[in-house]
This record gives sequence, C-alpha cells and structure tokens, in this order.
Amino acid sequence: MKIAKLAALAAVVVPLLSGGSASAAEPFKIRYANIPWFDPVYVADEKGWFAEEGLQIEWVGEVSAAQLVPAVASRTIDFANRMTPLILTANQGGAKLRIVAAGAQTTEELPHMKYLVKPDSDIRAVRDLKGKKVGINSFGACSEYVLKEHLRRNGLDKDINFVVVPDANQEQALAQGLIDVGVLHSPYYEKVVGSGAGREIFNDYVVDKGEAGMLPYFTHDDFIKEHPDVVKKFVKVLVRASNWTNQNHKEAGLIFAKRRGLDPQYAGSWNFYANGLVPNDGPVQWWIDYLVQEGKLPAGAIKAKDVYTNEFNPYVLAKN
Amino acid sequence: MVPLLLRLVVIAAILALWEAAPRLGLVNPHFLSPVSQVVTTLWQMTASGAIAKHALISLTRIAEGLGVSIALGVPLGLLTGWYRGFERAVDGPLQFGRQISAIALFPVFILLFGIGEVSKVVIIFWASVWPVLLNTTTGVKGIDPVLLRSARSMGATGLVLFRKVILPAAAPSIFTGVRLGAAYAFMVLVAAEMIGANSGLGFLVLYSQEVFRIPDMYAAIIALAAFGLALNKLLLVLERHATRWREAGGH
Repeated sequence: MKIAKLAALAAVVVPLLSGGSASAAEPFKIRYANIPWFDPVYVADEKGWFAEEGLQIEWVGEVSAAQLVPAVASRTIDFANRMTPLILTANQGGAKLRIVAAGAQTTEELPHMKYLVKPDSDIRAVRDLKGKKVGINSFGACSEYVLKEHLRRNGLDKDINFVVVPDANQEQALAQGLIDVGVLHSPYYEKVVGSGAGREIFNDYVVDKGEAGMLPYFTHDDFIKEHPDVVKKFVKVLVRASNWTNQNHKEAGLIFAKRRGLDPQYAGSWNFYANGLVPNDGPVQWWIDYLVQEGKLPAGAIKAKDVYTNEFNPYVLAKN
Repeated sequence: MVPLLLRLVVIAAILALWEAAPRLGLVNPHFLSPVSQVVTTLWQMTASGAIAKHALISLTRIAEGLGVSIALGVPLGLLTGWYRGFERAVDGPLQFGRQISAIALFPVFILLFGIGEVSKVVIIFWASVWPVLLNTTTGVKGIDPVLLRSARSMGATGLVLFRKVILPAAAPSIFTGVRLGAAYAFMVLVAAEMIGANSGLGFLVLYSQEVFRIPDMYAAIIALAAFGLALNKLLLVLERHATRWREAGGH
C-alpha cells in the first residue's frame, strides 16, 4: 500500500517538476551573431525582454554578412536576418531555412539602401548612371539585384560596371573617386550622408515602393522541430522590440550605437513591419520572380509559402 | 615501386574519406560536397570556359605580383646579405613590415593604389616579397667562405665574383624563397580579389559562398591549388636548370 501511495505521489510530482523546469531553471541560450546593422535584438537584450521569456542571447561574436546564412544553415547560430534572395538560393542549394518574422522594411524615409555619390558629382538621376562604376558589397544580393532591376526598367542594365567594395571601404572608395556611385546600407549611409561626404540620388524605395526591402529573420527547420516554443518566444520578443523601435527610432539607434561602439551622432535604425508579420506573399514572391527572371532559380522550384511562416507570431490571426 | 604504391594508397584513402564522410552524413553534405560532385562541377566549369577565364585573370595578377617581388626582393636581399651596414640600416623597417598582414592594410592599399588591378598586384607583392627577400639574404650570408677565399685568391673580384660565385651559390636559397613567395601569392589571392573584383579564382571562391553554390566553391579551391602546384613544379624545373653545376659537381 505504502509503495503504491509513493508511486502515485511520484507519478504526480515528477511530471510537475520536469514540466516546470523549462521556465524555472536555466534560461534557454540562443546563439546569435553580433549583427553589424541595426537589429532590435540589441534593444530587447539591453532591456531584458529576453530574460522575461526565459531566453538568453549568447552573443557568438562577429560573423561576416556573407557567412550569416551558412552559419544558420550549419546550425552554428540559431537565428539571423538577411535579405530574402540569399535565403532562397541557400534553400535551392539544399539548406532548410525558414523565415519566421518579417524584420525591417524599406520606407521612403528609412530605406534599406541608399545610392550615394560625391556631393559635387554630376550624377543626379538613374539615367546619369550610364557607363559609371557602382560599388556593391557583394554580388548575388540586394546591392546588385535591386539596382539592376531599376536599371533594367530604365533600359540601362547593360551599361553599368559593378565592382565589389566591402561596406566598410565604400566611403573611402567614393571619396577617392574610385567608384562613381556607392550602394550603402545602414549604418554606413547615416555617416556618409550625415557627415556630408555623400549625397543621395535615390534609394531602394523607388523599386516597387520598397517591396524588395524586407530583411527577414530566419532559422533552421530542425531548430523549429526541436524547439518550437523557443521560436515562438524569440519572435514574440523580437516583435515587441521592433514595434518599440518604430515608436522610438532615436533611442533605438542610440542603443545600437552603444552596443557597436559607433559614433552616436550617426546612429540610425530602420522601420519594421508592423507586428513582425510578413504581410502577404509579396516581399518573398518579388524575389522568387526576380531570381527566376535572372535564371538563378528554376521556375516553380520554390513557392513563397514554403519559405516563410507567420505561425510563430503572437499577432497572427488564426484563420480557418 | 613500393613508395609509389604507398603514395597512391594515401591519396586514395583521402579521396575515399572525402567521398564517404558527406555521403554518410558524418559531415553536412551541403557544406562539404562529396569529392565526386566537386570533380563533376569542376569538369563542367572547365568545359564552359569559366575556369579558364577566371584562372587567366588570377594567374596574371600572381605573375605580376610575384614578378615585382622577385625584381625588388632579390636585389634587396643580395644587398642586405652582402653589406652588413646596409642590412643594419634597413633591418628594422623590414622586420616590422613583414609582420603586417596584407589584409590589415586594405585601407592603406586602397588609399594609395585604388581598387583596380594595381592594388591587387600590390597586395600579392606584399604577401610574397618577404620569403624572397629573406631567403636571398640567407642565401648570400650562407655562402661557404672557402669558396669566396678561393675565388679571390684566383683573382676574381667585383662582377666576376658576383656572377660566378655569389649568385650561383645563393641560387638554391633564392629559388626556395621564390617558391615560398609563390605559395603565399596563391594564399592571399582570395583576399586580394575581395575588393574591386568581378572575376578571378579567388573572387569565384568568395562569390560561390555568397550565393550558396558550395560545389562551385570547392571546384574553384581545387583549381587554385592545382595551379599553385603547377607553378611550384615549374619553378622547381627552372631551379634544377639554373643550378646544374650542383649535379655536375657530384652533389
């Protein structure tokens, strides 16, 4: 009888103990890279919002932009954010990545990229780009493709010379006249424009009102399988920090500058998709269509709905 | 016969491991492509002319960079090896310069040489000149003093001493330095083609990573290594030709 009672007690207590340990014990460590561009994860980390959900960001250090997608695909880090075409090509190459939050968006005031020239340059509009040298941070990503599409629509894509110049060296290349146009991302364009070293001729909003400018957060399918609850919590905190950023741009920029050791007078941030929701297939489909058009993706190989999901977002309205 | 068999066995074992590990899932096959896939990709890239196009540009850059290294490094090394005063004068800056990696100097190179071919050649020169310089110096310093005394006692001086004794005696060391320099040149090619490039084998390695075409990346790496080996072999042949006197002497 005693043994039966003990066993019954154990049967009740043990599940309680193990069920409660997920949030009561160690916070779940999320491996994250020190992203060199504005990221609300810095804001949430600074404000302790991850700890509230039982999460902890484990900062693994600098990972160069080009290695972010491979790092997630090889499970070395758990989440990252990069432009959609890189995720599409990675999946085409066998990676199993999935977009779980929309991330930053291109708006007229806060675009993803600015196309800059020297203040005294004669270049004022896209037609002046004919025969000019354009510095991009890499081929195969937003820097090349969005501008190329804009040029193509203006009948100019064959007359431009693209040259790779890392983000950190673009300002110098522009100042020395080694390139005629620099394609800069935040936080680089804030400094160049703010210090008067460069003048904006246009930004990526001109292409389909910035439809291509989504900078989504993604993770590995296996991570989703293993820790769906962690993904939900991460997205929840991320969305909280993104929404806060939208209302507090200046302060968000300062937090980012502090974390990265940047001069605060040039600190900037982006605008984020409301509630982190991918609004529709549009931002992803734009890239699928573009890559198919460029012959980088076979037609019909990837469908937008296979690449992104809002199911981990607390704001998703449960339909059907 | 036996050594050849052993070499083949070692190579076969490495290839087998490279094929099996990704296929068996011991390593992620999306990041380490099986060697058969790499070979197939390399074949396709060669057939399409892509390898030839990129290799030509890279080999030109290496030839120019290494060429400048030899043109500057050998005379400087000879002077440093021969004249103690000169060596003491330049030793400080030389030892300092050789510690600085070319990649760390990117902003300086861009400032002085731009982002075109010149800066790439300069980066390759910077990486490859040090072994050429140092090995030339060692080669001169290491000349058997008996040789010099004998030659002098037979009346050899100046240019004759230089052409008939110093240069041939230092030649093996100089060639070693050039071969090391060539290896460094290939190693730094990826870094040199990081800025302002839209072609080249190093650029291809980086670009393949960016667009997640990993088999292409390995194919480019193999091509780079193959060309490096070929250059090394060529330099060995040249060295053997230039130091024929060694064989003749019965060494």
